[in-house]
Amino acid sequence: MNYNAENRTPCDRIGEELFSHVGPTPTQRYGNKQENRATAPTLSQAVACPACKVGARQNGCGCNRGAGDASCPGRMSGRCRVHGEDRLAGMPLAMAYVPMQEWRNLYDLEPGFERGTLFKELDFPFFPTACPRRGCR
Amino acid sequence: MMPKDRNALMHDIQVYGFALVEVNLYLDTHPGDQAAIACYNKYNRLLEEAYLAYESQYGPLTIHGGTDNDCWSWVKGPWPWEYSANTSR
Repeated sequence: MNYNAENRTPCDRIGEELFSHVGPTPTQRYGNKQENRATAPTLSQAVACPACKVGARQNGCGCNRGAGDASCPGRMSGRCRVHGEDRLAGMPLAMAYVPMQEWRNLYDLEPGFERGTLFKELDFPFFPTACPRRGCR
Repeated sequence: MMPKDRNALMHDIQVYGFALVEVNLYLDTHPGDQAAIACYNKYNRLLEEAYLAYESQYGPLTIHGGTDNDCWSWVKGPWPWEYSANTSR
């Protein structure tokens, strides 16, 4: 791979070549192409937790109620908290995934300077809170 | 229009410089983004103007900022540890 080729950005470099030894690349798995539908879990499939459907034996969230049962303890607003929201299921382990930023939702200069970022989408104020565990300091 | 005072100009330089770093980081991963390039060029021009305005009135901001002919201008400005002379706003 020629890393010095013109207009090669880190984004461009994340191709099949880089992931060839760990299986299909993320775009292959999660692309919108019709032929990938069979292997790519759609959002609606992810919401209906397959593990919940098959009962307690294989159920990681500890629930033996059906996925449609609102009383399922692992369920939260239509999604299984344990399984349903893991849209990265099936991706290679130990790799970090960062969504591509787009040029949008900018702060004006002064507010951006105050906030410490020009991008509203990157404005994440983290406030330390007390540990929810009882007795923990 | 009244010429801006020292603190206001320094503030502008910091704001434009900050914005440029932000756009710079974005462009590192989006080198073909025309809107970002236009934004970079705009802030770069504004920063240059602010730099020139500051240095022509208050002396060099960096050692590359030039000097008066009769005196080494660099030593005439406040030193970094002279807090009150350097605070912006």
